[in-house]
This record gives sequence, structure tokens and C-alpha cells, in this order.
Amino acid sequence: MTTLAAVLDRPGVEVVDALDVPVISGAQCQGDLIALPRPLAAPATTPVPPGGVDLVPDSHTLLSCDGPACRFDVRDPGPSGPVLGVLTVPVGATAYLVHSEEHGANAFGPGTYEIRRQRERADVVRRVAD
Amino acid sequence: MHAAYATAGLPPPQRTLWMSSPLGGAVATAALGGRPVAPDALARWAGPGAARRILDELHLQWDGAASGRPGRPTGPDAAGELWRSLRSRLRRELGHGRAELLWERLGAEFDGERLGGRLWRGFSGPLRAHLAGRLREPAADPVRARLAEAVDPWAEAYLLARHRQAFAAAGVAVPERLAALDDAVRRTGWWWPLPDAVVLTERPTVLRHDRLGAPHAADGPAMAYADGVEVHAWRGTPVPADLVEGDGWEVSRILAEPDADLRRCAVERRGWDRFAAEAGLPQVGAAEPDPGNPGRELRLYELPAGIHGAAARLLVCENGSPDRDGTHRRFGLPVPADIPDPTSAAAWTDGVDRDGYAGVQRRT
Repeated sequence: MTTLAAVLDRPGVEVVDALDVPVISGAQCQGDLIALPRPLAAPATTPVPPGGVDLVPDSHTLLSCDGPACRFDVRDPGPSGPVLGVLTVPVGATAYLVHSEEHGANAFGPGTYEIRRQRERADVVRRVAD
Repeated sequence: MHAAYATAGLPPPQRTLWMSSPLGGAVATAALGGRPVAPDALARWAGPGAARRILDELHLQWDGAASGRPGRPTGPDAAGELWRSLRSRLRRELGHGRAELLWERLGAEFDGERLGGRLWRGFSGPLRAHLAGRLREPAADPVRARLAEAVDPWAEAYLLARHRQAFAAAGVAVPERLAALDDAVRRTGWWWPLPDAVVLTERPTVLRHDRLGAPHAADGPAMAYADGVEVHAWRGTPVPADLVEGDGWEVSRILAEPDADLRRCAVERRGWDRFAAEAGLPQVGAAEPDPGNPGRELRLYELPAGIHGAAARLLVCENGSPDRDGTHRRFGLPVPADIPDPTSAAAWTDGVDRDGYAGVQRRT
């Protein structure tokens, strides 16, 4: 089994406190990102590469651990849309969302999730950069 | 530098001036062209310290004689002539259709967000906006005109890279003139290739950006040069120094600011949560527990029109994870004015409904 410490030692992954990270199949948040379970959605098909997927450059990174590779399809959110993509975690696998400095890690059990970015009201609604 | 002149078929520049900043370079170039800047005017534009250092640098290197052939730059890449000749060369080598197709395909890589746009937003644009703001009075016209003519490496870098890549993809050796200019641009900051002189400037001594690549520093200049020319910026917007120094602007100063962009920057710098408390914003309903964030609460406040554009409400919440100093960072997010309660406001920021947000099991 891949430990979180091993994940965090991967090249390009900078972080953090390798404390207990509960594996959750419900909704969870990391800073300005929210992951919502979407059991009825079409599963993602693009394998997460060994180095992970940078959901937000230099901050939030998604990693695939254990079992078959997790999958993540990027959805082009447009200038103000909040959806970043769809994550599918196969049975036996775990996906970790890690942050470069500010937030603890989150772990996802099997299932399909929609990952969204927070927005705020502005003259033109823009996504938050935390 | 001499190679850049030689490959352009020009005699080497007889005089070389090194200045510390783009503003210093523009002042030196104006002076060489017979338009010296008065010390008191420069002090108004750059501050007394930077003005003195700029003029000291200039007078150590220049005896006051105007250049024999001043005027507009006609050096190695003047007025786009180099770029036009390189495109013609590509068309001769590949044929018109293939050359244009290659050029367009490379454009997607080099023009947009990947390089050209990022360099402009993160470097040239804010510096030029800052200097344009400082050089508004008519006496500054000669300096402002020279700034517009500078070879700005941040603006040139993507053109140089795109042209080099075009020749590489075409299997054609990079022309000497392009290679020489590329080499010159790598070794200097902004510069002015003049007919018989060249004015060179140093790179900045401070260059700080936020995660999106916009100039940003919360406690000092985002760009600075050795002569004391400084640009303060908040997430890409040039701002007065006192907006980011110390505690930032107080509430009364923020509310008196006519520029909405500066007002927003000042509130963000002070912190929306702190601003809400200091300004005595009326709270909407009671605080509610933040789902998935045990012990933390969500609060909603009225945000009167004029502070953040139209009337809005302000959600104040806290990070799930403590900062390294153990405190939980609090922050405020403006939300639409018709949102009824704190949990609905937090749900809106994530684009979900209240029930969806209330189901969050863990927040980090």
C-alpha cells in the first residue's frame, strides 16, 4: 500500500504534515476547492499520471494511490465557471488532494466526484485564488 | 550588443550608457536626444531619492553633449523591421501557405496565456501602467515617448522565442541577426538602440508575484530597481506604497478613496473580516456552524453599495487547517445581496445549494 509519506516524497509534490487523513466518500473541501459526490455522473476516463494533476498550479494537486489509477477529466470552466473537473476513484484505490502550504490533505474513497472552485461576487464573477 | 548592431548592418554605437531602471533609461535617452529632464520635475515623478540617483548615474557617464544623431531608435530591431524580414525569410524557405500555417500554430503556444499574455500581465503591463500614472504632466512627454520606444525584454521574449521556434520547426538555421538580438536581450533589461549610442538598463532587484503570476507584494514593493524606482502592486494592480506598507489603509481612508479598484485592493490588504468589524458592517442573521469545519463559524454581513461596486453581502469564514503559527486564517468573500443566510452564502461560493454544502464532512 502506498503511504501518504511516500506520496509526498514524489518529485514535484511539496508538502506537509503526513498525519491521519480520513478516507471519505462524501463532500469535502480544501480551501477554495469543494468535491461533491456525483454517483450518477459519467465516470472520468483520463488516468491521473504518477506525478499527479495540478488542479490549481502551485497549490492544489490531485494524486492517485493504491489499486488501479484514479481518473480525472478536466472540464474547461470558462472564465467564471466553478467546475474544474470530474474525479473517479476505482474500487481499491484512493485519491489524495494535497496543498502546497496552507491546507491539510484530503483523501477520497471509491466513487465519482465533481471538483469545483470557489467563486466570489465581483463586477465580473471571478474565481478565488487562495 | 555590438553583434546585434553588426548583424543589422549598422556601425557599432559610439557611446554606451548603463542605467539602473527603465525610468532611468528613458531619462538618459531623452537627455541624449537633447531633452534633458529638470531635477525638480523628475523628483515629482520618481520621488526625490530615486530622482537624485538617476541623475547622478546619468551625469557620471555623460558630459551633457547631445548625441550627434538623436531621435527615434533606428537600431537592431527598430520599428518591427527585423520581425518583418524574418517572416519574409520563413515564407521564402517554406512557401507562403506553409509558413503562415506554422506561424499560426506557434501563435497558440507563444502568444496567449502560456508566454506572451503572462509576460505582459505579470511584468510589462503593470510597470508601464505605473510609469504612465507617474508621467502624466506635459513636461514628462519626452520621457514617456522614450519609454514607448524601449526594447522591453519582457515584451520581446515571446517574439524572440516564437521566431526561434519557427526557424527550428522549419529546419532552417536561425538567422545571425535574430541570434544576436536574442543574445543581447538575454544580457540586459530594457534598452534603447539608438543610431550612435545605446542605453542599457539593469534588471530589477525585486520582483514578486502572486500564484496567478500577477505582480503582488503584501509588505513592500512588488518591483524595485537599484536606483530606488519602485512599483507597489496588489494582485496585479499598481497601488500607492502606503496601501501595502504597515497596517495598510484605515477604514476612513478606504471609504474616502474614489477609485473602486484601489478601494477593493485596500480592503483585501487589510482583510475583509477585519474591515467588516472596523467598519461596523451590520450582521445578517446569526452565525452558523461551518459544516466539516468543527468549532468554526460562518457569518454574513451587509456590504453597502460603493464599497465593492453594487450592494452585496460579505461572508466571513475560516480555514479548516491552521497556519504554521497555529491560528486559523479568516477571510471574507463578497456574495450577492439576495443571499439569505451564512450557509447559503458559503454554498453559493462553491456553486452548490444549501443542502449540498451542509453535507460537507471535512474541510482542510
